[in-house]
Amino acid sequence: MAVSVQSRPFASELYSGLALPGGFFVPMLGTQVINAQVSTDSTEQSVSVSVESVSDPNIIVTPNTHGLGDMSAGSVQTLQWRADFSQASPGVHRLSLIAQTATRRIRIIKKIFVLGVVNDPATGAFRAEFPEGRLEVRFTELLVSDKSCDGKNPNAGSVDLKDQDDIYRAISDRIMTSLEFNKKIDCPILILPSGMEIAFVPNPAYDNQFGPLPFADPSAKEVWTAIFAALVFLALLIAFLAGVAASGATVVFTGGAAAPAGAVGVVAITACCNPVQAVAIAVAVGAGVGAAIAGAGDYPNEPFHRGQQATTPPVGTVTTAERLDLALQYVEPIVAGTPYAVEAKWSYTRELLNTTTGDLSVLTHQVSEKRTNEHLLSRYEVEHPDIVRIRKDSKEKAVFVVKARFFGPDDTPVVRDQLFVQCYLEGTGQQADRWYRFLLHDSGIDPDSQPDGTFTGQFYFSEADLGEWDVTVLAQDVNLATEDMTPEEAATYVGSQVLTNQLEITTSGGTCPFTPDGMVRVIFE
Amino acid sequence: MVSVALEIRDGDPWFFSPALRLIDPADASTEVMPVAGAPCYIEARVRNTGDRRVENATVRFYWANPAAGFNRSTANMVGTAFVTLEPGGDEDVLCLSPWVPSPINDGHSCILAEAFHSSLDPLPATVDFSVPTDRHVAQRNLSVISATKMNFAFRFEVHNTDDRQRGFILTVEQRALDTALELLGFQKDRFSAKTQVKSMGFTDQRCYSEVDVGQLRPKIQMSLPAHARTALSVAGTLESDGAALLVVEQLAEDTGTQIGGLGIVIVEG
Repeated sequence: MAVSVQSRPFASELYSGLALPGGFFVPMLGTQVINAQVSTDSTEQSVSVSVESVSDPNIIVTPNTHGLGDMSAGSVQTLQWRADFSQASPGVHRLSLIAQTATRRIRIIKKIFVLGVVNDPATGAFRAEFPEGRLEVRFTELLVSDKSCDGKNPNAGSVDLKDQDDIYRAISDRIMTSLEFNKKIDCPILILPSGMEIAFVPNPAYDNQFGPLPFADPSAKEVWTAIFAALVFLALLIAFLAGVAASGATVVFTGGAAAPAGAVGVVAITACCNPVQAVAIAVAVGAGVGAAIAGAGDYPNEPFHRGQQATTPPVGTVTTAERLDLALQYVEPIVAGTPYAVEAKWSYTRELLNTTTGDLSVLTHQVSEKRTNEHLLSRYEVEHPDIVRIRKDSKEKAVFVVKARFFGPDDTPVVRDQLFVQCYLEGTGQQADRWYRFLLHDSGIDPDSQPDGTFTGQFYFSEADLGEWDVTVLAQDVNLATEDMTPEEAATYVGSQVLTNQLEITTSGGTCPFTPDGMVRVIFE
Repeated sequence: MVSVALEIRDGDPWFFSPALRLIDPADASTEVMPVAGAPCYIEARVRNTGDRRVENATVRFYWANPAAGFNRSTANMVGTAFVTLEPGGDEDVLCLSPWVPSPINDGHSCILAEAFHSSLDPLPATVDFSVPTDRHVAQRNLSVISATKMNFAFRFEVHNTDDRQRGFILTVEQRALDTALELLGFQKDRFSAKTQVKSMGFTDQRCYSEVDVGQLRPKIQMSLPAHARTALSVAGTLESDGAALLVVEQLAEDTGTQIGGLGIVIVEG
């Protein structure tokens, strides 16, 4: 097939732009972005791609036709469509795209996963339902950066939210405190999971040693990190809008789930008067999620699979539930893309039912170990002009081209569909509180010269943008699992892990430096 | 004047649109008949007869119980799709939301699709579909049923979509089977033998065993209150093995205008 989408279309969050772990779409987050990596294996002319249909009529896609022009063999371009998932049904759905070339029309049907997450006010747990059962996560301990900030870098000293009855509310309160202190979010609010209770209840109970993989694709670990990411996104957005509520407006929570504690009043989630610091959220959340995954390990080394491996159920029994108590200690600075270590202690419990006698029993397995982050870049390079000149009194905009190259742990280039790359422009000085975001592609489609490992993107500045802008390039890896893989093969691909290291998080004091990749000045000619 | 004009072709009669198909979810190239409880996809061939390209026109898909006369408020939406068309171009548009024919009426249903662009070629501002006069809309109201020992009964509904009480005239007549074969081409071997229908007409009874054959009437008058619907059956007997096509038409009594219709192909066995 000439034009195709090899990997599963994935979700990115609307404000931060961050791709969600597992690529899940989460109704709780309302409108999200569908990202599809469109590729060609031959030269194609006059390529355009549009959304035709989605299998769940409750997913409301904003249609858009992307004109790509001519694509050379090996090109990959990430295309985006906004869609409202607030009323979507949890489960596996299908998305139909139409690729039109000069000579033919191609229909491409791909699966997308919708993860339904609800908050159980009785237990404080967040619960995700999927075809194979349900996963419940209760955060028992979180490290959150304290309210001090040196203007750009959050303080490393953390507030321990252990023993908080309502962790969600605690996060919201923490963010509200920051808002009160700084009038806006100056620094990334850092949140690291340090204690979790996770329960998987299969439906139906299973009689073999290894349980079903959620969605028969990603590992159970990825499901709970997706829940965690959704939780943090939501906490930030709601707490931020609660700041709007303090000024008289009201805030509503969309997404089909009950409003969690901390939500204030009622308003459209898009009614926002203060800018969200997108890059701050992106790097902070990305780092937090990455750290959690680093501590737990990738499939098949993650705790659920290893616990199943270590506990052989007796004949005549079925597994009715699996529980995991996980404690993480961040003994080294967390820097995305580097092999930092995390100490993990976990206890796995398999609950069994004897189908003949009705007797209940348990098998357990404990592990204490140090794990290192496996999502690595040896280095990356960002190249862009330092100055962009705009002709005075002209309506013309001036182009700003950013190029980036990324190298894996063995220093080989990471190319094309292996990365999801975005550039954030954050205004400073007279442009403070303004920001832009755009994608970079290694596609051979203008402005990228050829699919050779250099990711290129462009933005057009206008007279309204005069001033200085921080440039931050964020790269996440992509879940390259294809539909012809077995669930076990596919589960080894995680995706959505932040690899660029602008932020260093420590819990031992001082600040957590956040260093953009560059700066550009927009001036008159 | 540069314009967009979206069209889904009507059939002859208009509710036999060949532009609407049911597709096997496992193989998009395979056409299927509706089976109660078995998911399928609906596909519509949409054409742009205007002289301007249209991007992301909306195509909506509906189903309804076999009925003579229904509108947007009584039909059930299946899903939505989008299509981009050059001037003079046409494409098959697939609704990826699966349609599961209802067990009510053994899966016999009517499907309908409408194509429009909200600013360049909007739909008329009415809840009525107006299929014969509105190029945006097409309907496929054709069911295939089996006769048992040559006898058959087919249940359908009559709707009054108006805001006032209205009188209707319903007629049923046999027509050439060829009329339906364009829609049933993928199964035409099943309908190669043709036969005649005798003793056909309308009845309130659901099952042929309850029908008083002598009371069957091929033309009836009825009056329905505003927005009301009622169920009727078409019953009859085949003269011999083979297939036959019956067409039911609903006319407004006051104007004589045809406002609905459906087709029934009866096959022995």
